[in-house]
Amino acid sequence: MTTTNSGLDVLLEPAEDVRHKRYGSRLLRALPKVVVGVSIVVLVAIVLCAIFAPLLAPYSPNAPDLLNPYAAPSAAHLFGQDSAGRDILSRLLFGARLSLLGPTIVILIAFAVGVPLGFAAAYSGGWADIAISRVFDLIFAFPALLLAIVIVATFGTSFYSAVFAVTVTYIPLMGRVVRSACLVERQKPYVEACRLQGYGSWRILLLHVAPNIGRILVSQTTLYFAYALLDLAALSFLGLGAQPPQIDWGSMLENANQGVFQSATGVIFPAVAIILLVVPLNFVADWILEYNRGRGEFR
Amino acid sequence: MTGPTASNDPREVVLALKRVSTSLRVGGRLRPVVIDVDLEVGAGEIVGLVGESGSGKSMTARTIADALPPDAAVSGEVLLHGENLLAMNRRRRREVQPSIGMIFQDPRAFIDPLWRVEDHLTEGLRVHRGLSRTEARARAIELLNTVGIDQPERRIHQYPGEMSGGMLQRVMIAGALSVEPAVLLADEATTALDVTTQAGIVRLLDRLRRERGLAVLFITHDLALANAICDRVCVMYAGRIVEVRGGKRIFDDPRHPYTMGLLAARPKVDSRSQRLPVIQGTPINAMDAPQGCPFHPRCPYVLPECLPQVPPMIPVEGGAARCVRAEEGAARLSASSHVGEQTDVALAVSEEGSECS
Amino acid sequence: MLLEVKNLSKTFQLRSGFLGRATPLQAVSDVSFAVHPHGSVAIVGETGSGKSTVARMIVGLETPTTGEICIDGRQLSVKPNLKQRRERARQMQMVFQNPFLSLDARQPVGKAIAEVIAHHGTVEKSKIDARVAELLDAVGLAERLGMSRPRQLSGGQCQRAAIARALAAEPEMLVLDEPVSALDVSTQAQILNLLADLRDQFGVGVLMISHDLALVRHISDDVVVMHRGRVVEAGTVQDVLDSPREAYTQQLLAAIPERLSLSGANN
Repeated sequence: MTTTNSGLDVLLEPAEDVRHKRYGSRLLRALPKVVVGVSIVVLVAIVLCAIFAPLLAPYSPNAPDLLNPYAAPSAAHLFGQDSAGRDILSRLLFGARLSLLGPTIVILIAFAVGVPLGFAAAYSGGWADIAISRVFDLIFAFPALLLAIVIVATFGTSFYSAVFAVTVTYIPLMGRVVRSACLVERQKPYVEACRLQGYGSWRILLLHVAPNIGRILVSQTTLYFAYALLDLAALSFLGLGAQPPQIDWGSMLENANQGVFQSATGVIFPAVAIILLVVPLNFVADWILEYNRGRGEFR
Repeated sequence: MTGPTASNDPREVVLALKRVSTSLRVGGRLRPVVIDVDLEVGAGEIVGLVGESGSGKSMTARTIADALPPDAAVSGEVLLHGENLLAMNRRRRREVQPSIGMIFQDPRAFIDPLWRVEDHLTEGLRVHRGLSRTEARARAIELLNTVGIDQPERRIHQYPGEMSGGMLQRVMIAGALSVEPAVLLADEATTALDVTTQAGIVRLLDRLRRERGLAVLFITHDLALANAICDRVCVMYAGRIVEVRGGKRIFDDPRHPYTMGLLAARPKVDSRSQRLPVIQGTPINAMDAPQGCPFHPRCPYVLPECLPQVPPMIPVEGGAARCVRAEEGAARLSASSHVGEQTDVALAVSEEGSECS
Repeated sequence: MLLEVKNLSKTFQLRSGFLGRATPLQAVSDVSFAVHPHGSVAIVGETGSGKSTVARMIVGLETPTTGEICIDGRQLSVKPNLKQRRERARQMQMVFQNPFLSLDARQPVGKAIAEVIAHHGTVEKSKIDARVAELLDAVGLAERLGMSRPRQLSGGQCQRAAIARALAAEPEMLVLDEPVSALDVSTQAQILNLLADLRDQFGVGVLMISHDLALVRHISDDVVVMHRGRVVEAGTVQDVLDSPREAYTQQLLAAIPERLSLSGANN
């Protein structure tokens, strides 16, 4: 482990014999930035695919070709064909729309409802907090999928009832995160300083606490987008979500499931698509949280 | 090793740092945090390392304990019983690691709250010394006795949450002692404690070094505390040692203007001063140090000689100081100074010295 | 009398779990003392002495279990509403121990000061910026630093900003909770000098909470020594520090580093 280092800063007067310990190479240190960069590129690419699906898709997503069910990838159909001979690539591109739209609606509503509830729980303390927290707990106690099935059974299977079902389970999640983050901030002296002045609770909440928990909120929301996507895909896979002619990746999986021994591509590609969305979202969520945190002080 | 930072005693030198420099990676480049530190701690000695933030005192401790981030760079030698820690391979380093005990400022951050005291104390014994559970427990009770915890048989079953800060700090010391270290690094070990608890812990450390020949490196920002308990005190500024003195000399007769500044800036419990003489500016990191003496931009007694190079350590009575004017002493410095009374730290120090004598 | 505290007590109910039994913790018992206008009193104690709790009750961050707090002769309500809090804030302000945490990390310090001024209406709206500049100057901060966020400032600068924020309400008294213990020695001295100057300039009374007896000697005229929630000794700083009557006070004085003596110490 003896290497000479010419990168030593000039301010340091090097001793005659210089030994260094380096456990990480330059490449390893650069890895996190590269990973986040690639993640963002992948996410943007998927969104663009969804938006420009009509331009990018070689076929109409619902155009059947009943002579070639579960066909393997070929020159004409790059990703193969599904049970009705429809082009998987085109279905993937169009399916991105609902697959992205669903989680978006979920987190928007979960945010809009969960965040104020979380604030209210954190700030009122006492009975309101207990009441809200117990309602959250009640929802948590139900397995999300079971709850979703109940809701869907009540309102009928459709993309929107699946979205509604998942949203109900995400509201308490969001509320919980907000409540915890607020409680942490509340202990800090700057909030006490505000209380001392006689600022109202909502003022303290919106003007002072909320900006400080912003980073955590954004990171969690990103993560929840990924999880909502998985939950919606699961519902669609069970046939409880998007119904034909609507397409999303979960229902593509369900469709491909039956013919998996004839053509695995029907299963692989939607699965990969889901992974390509979920994994980068995780990296980005992490990065949002950790970004710029490394500025310590040296003693 | 000879020189001002050498121990005056013929006692065995346990820990020696020779021209140790540490750099950390900041924004992609290596920047220094510790520069050219020479230090020795003999068996049974307590040596103090005093500095403010950015002085490099904690980084020095971390360099010794091999607790630096993986991309840090270190040069020089850290000798433990003559063996260079920096040159060891990883296996040997892990073998000698129990010889270096370390205690920190916040015991709660370093003791697992879910482990009982017994688990915490016996872990080291079972892993490093291969003792059985019963043997280790007996030893743990002995250790708790040594560190002055009463009813050790009962305490051993308690969780950290059930103990006060002072008691937990004693437990941490017991943990460090369990593997019989040769040297103990105490990094701001008493900073978070009440003054009476601090006195207790400090007395404990004193007793341990006397009875066991433990070499202690006591790191603190409190010069008065270091002066009270250490055989020798090293003052650090901007990553370098700027003064080393033995006995009580650092308090009575400081020779480096920064040390004088530290002394003058503290209010005294004996008498009230109108205004505390203050050196303008704030302490700096090694990486922000200017050319020449790192303290010169803030020094009220600066001369042209201070500039081109970093001054060497100049021997003075009882130690050395890194100042071209080290031999002058507070009274002469203040007589020749051009600063006003309010910021004349040498004046404050020399006045106080004359009050005490 | 600027501030009068009579028989103040606080018992915390510690609950284990939602339905768990509550164990009472007597943090403060029967504390009484007074601060004259422009006076400077220190409350000294170790951890668990209750000194911080007393300070927090005085500024309204904790509710006393029993006892009275009177400012300018008027008794303060135990559970103040927003209006009462605002009035109390015009009379006493607090400077906290950790400068970085006592300011909103996302708010430039100048804005934090302006917010206090606007809230209390001490100056008309058009003059707020000028007032902020005045306050920053009074605490020794360059005007441009008003646009910085707390993390961009040093500990000392941050504490100066916190002091400026406290002064923005034009209080009669400042409550300082370990105001310099989180700062470097050289910075401590600067802040202490600043506090002395501000006391002269603005004529505010000072109530300082500290564990540091040397600090108390330097800043305060009178001192109250607390131990386990009770007042152990009180008097002028000279009396208490030079000739302590109580064993606890003597113990405290004997333990400070300047007076620490270890058996058979150093060569």
